[in-house]
Amino acid sequence: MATFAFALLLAACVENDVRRGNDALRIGDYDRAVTSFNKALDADPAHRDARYGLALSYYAIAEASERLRVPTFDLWSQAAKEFRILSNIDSSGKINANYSTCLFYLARAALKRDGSVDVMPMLNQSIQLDSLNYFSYNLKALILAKSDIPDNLKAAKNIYIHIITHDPLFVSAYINLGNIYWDEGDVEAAWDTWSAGLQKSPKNQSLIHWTHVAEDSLKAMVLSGRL
Amino acid sequence: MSENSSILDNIESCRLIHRGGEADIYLASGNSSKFVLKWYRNGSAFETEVVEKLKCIRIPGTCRIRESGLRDGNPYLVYDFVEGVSSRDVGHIPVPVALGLLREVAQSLLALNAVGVHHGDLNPANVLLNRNPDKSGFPVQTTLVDFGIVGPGTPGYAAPERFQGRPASTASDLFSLGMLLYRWITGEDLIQASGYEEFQDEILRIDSISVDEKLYASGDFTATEIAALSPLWKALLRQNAEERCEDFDELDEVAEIALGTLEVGEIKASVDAQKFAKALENQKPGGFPPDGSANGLDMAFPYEKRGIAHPKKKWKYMYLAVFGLILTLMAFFFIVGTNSSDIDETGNLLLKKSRNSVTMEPDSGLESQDSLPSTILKDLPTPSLD
Repeated sequence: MATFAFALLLAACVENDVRRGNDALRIGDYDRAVTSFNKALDADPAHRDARYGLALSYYAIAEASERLRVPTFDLWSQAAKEFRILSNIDSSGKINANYSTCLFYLARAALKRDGSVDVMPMLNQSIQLDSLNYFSYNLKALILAKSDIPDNLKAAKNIYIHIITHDPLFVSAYINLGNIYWDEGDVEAAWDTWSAGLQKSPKNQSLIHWTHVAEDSLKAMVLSGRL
Repeated sequence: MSENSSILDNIESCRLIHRGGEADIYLASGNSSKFVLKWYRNGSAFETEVVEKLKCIRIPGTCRIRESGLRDGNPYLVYDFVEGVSSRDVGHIPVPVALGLLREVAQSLLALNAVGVHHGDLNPANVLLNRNPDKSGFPVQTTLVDFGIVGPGTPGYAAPERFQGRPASTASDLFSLGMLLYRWITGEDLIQASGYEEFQDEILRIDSISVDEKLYASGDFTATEIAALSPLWKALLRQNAEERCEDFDELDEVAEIALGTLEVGEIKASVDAQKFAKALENQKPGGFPPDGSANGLDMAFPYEKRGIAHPKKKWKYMYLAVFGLILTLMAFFFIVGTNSSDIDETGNLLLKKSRNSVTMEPDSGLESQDSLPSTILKDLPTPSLD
């Protein structure tokens, strides 16, 4: 009985720490959130909410650092590590979207630190965790497109088309797909793609610029008799 | 019944009151109830099948078996203690009343037979008498105790075949009933012997004993009574089991005819029985088994009690435990239940915040064939920036 009561009280303390951590996280007091969640995990290392809270705290800290344009690789590594541990105790799928986004950020931070690093497995895991994470699709297609291998270029095109089809407002995909066509010399296809993006985002300066460039090129080609 | 809830462990006092051939009998009490503990000795045991049957059913006119099992390697039975006067202690019983008792006992034996159980040791000490609270029934209530006996039973009452090692049967119980009836009406045993062998010899020549002559010689019985009882001896006290009446139904009919032959009248018979019943109440109440403490027998537990808390204390601790648990749960839910962390909701808010702020920045194109340039990565759309 005494053991049971002690266990209940301990559980109550853990829950209290998790609640405090969550409150701190929501108001942006990330350091206090990390402290509270760590305290809860010291008492119960397999506490799912405490572990998720700690992962989200590191995520929030890393994302805040992204805005400051400072190196974030270590911060995202820490967040990803917590998500990886969390995935061992939570198979509900509720954490997948955040874990997937964390992996996208980590992949991008890794490339920023070392452009030759292979982040493809990380991006594939990110996409596997959340098939609606088009940021990871987009980065994967960029990496494929820089390759000289024709199949990779084709795969990159397909990814961009996939993104545009499923999320027509993901403007970067129009720009990057148009770039591939432009580099291939297919000015007409590039213009089609950029102008389609411009319809979705009329104020996007990149699309305005590149659509004009493509139009001018097409006019020049007509006048020169090449088209 | 589990070991932990055994009646034996809740017994507070236990007194040896009879040392029998195959078992000792103890009067035990605990939990404000009295019990009779039959503690088998010398490798003796009860018939498990019989006991299990009797534990599951309640037969009117029989003593209930509360528990059976093995303790410290010894078989034991626990019966309810039954208040009443042993028919051994009532002396001579008027013939009409004795016939009424015989019919009552026969009904109980009939019910036992219906579940495949025989008494095996019918003797005066194993029939308890009480005044019947049910005014519509026979004024005297009988209760059979200590049935399902494996051994031959009490020598002066055992059927001849029981001395030959045969198990108890309807026929052997019928024989014992005949001996019992004789004891009830005369106040003494039909067969009086000094040892087992002598009892056996006498019982085996039962056919040569004329009960009618014995009754006549005693001078205590009228010719009508002797004549009325005669068919009963012929139906019961036969050496050959096949010559006895067939069953208890037939015995009941023979007893009913005997009652009719007595010509005492229904009202007088009833009045006699009521007088007898009333006289029972004036006797010092005994019970099953008869109190043998006057014989100087020991007060002792035949088994080792297991360390189980006193029931009242146990309940007290239970109440305290439940109360404590409720308090703890209330505190737990007060602290936790009203302040749900809902970390999943926070996770969704963070994700929404990240992905809702998607913007497009100018793509400056690839500048290196070996790796993605930092400018591209910087301008790569991210869930949260800008």
